Amino acid sequence: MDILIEFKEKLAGLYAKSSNYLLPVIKFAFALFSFSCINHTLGYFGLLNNIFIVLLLSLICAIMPWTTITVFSGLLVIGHCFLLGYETAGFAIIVIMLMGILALRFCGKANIALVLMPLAFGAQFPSVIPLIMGLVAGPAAALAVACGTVVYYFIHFVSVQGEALKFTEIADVPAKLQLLVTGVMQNTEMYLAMITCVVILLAVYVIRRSSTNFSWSIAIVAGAVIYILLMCGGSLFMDVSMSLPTVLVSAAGSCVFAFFAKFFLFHVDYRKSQNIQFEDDEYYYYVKAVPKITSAKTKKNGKKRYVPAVERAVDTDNKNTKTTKPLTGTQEMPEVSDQNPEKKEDGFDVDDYKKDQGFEYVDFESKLEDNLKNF
Amino acid sequence: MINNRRIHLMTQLTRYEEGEGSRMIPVSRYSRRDFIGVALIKNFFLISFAYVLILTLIIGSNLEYVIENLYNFNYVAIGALIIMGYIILLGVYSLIIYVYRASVYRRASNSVRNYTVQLKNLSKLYADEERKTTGGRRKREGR
Repeated sequence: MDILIEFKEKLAGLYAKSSNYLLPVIKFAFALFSFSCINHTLGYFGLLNNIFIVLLLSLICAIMPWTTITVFSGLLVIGHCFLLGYETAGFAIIVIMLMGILALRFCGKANIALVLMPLAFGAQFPSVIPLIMGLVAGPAAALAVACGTVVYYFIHFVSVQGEALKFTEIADVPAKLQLLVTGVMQNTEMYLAMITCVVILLAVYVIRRSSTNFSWSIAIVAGAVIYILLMCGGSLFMDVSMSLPTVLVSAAGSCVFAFFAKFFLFHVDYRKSQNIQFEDDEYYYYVKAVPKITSAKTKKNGKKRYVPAVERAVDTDNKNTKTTKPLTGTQEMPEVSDQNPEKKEDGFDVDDYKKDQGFEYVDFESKLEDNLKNF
Repeated sequence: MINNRRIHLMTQLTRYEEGEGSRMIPVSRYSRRDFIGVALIKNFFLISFAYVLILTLIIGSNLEYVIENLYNFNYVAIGALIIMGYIILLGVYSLIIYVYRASVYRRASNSVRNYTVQLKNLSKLYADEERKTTGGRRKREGR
């Protein structure tokens, strides 16, 4: 276990050090994968299937915010639908615009679930995204998850009924519109999947926010159980054909993925948790402090996580400051004492710092004093 | 001479401005009423457009039936139904937008409060430094 924790810490350190380069690479890979999946499933428009176009779009996504991937995915779907006929493309445009206006504008960064959900459905693990979104995002992500489910069923319907939807005569337009609406909007399976995913996300969110011990683990297991129960119940009462082994394997797989995510995001030791109670003039405070699990090596060395260069340079210079607080909250700052920063007692290793930054540590104050003496 | 305290403050302020502050500071520049009002006006146009899309979808999917019964519809009843649906949709979404934008504004105000305090501290540091360099005599410009 200690090896895993050490690996996690190394990964976190690596990400913190080179997130400027890693993040575009991750975005590029994710965009490439999702665009390729859309092209593989629909693939009606030859020009959009061209690998150079896909690479170009992925490259643009690499330098743009995450929402760009969602926008380009939607445009790709509409583009493929155009080759089937204007009515299919029009239907796709209306559905995507309605989702954008009525739901996605409240979701913020959770919009990415719109792309992730079809991918998860394609991999037969539809519950993994609501489970993880419940752990990391807020209840508004339920809207994105629901929209993602609609997008998956729309893409699936268009890929299956591609031949029937191809434009032939203008007289067929009403019939095709009818087919699209019946196939997508009156799909009971889609509504069952949508309700299940939303319930899972909300349940996981509520449970993991509670102060109970092992709340994250309980939330994951509860989410998987809800998935099994709702899918089985739905297949019984809503006349949806469902294979029980598939549902069970899907729930188990989603659980594994969610526990993997939990290991990286919330790995704490509940045995050492402390309940503290105190009061001030206005309130009573009941605080529960749960320590994070760190590797034995980190504990022994007493090293802290990586802190941006500017912060550390300022903190080591600033000898009057006893402690510092990070503003954004994700990165821990090294405690700064009155001692010389060359000493390793406070956990800040100057040699490592020099190595990290690629330049020599300069004591500006002593240099200034020397210069003044010489002058 | 380099003032460590000032550098520390400026670094913190820049980090905030480039991170959370990039979203929060523009919000705090509005008054609460204007911030929510603009969102409600935007919502009015978006919901009107969405409602037109919904109607298009409904008519499009029942196009054959609509064409066949074009002269048999009770247009007054249909018109009333459409207007009622529009008012309900607009009302529900306006309420959601009001609550959502109010919470965003509250969060932004709380977030920017700390930033403002630090800005004042920085300004105070500059004033102190200026007093030191001028030997206790403060320059009064424009008087």
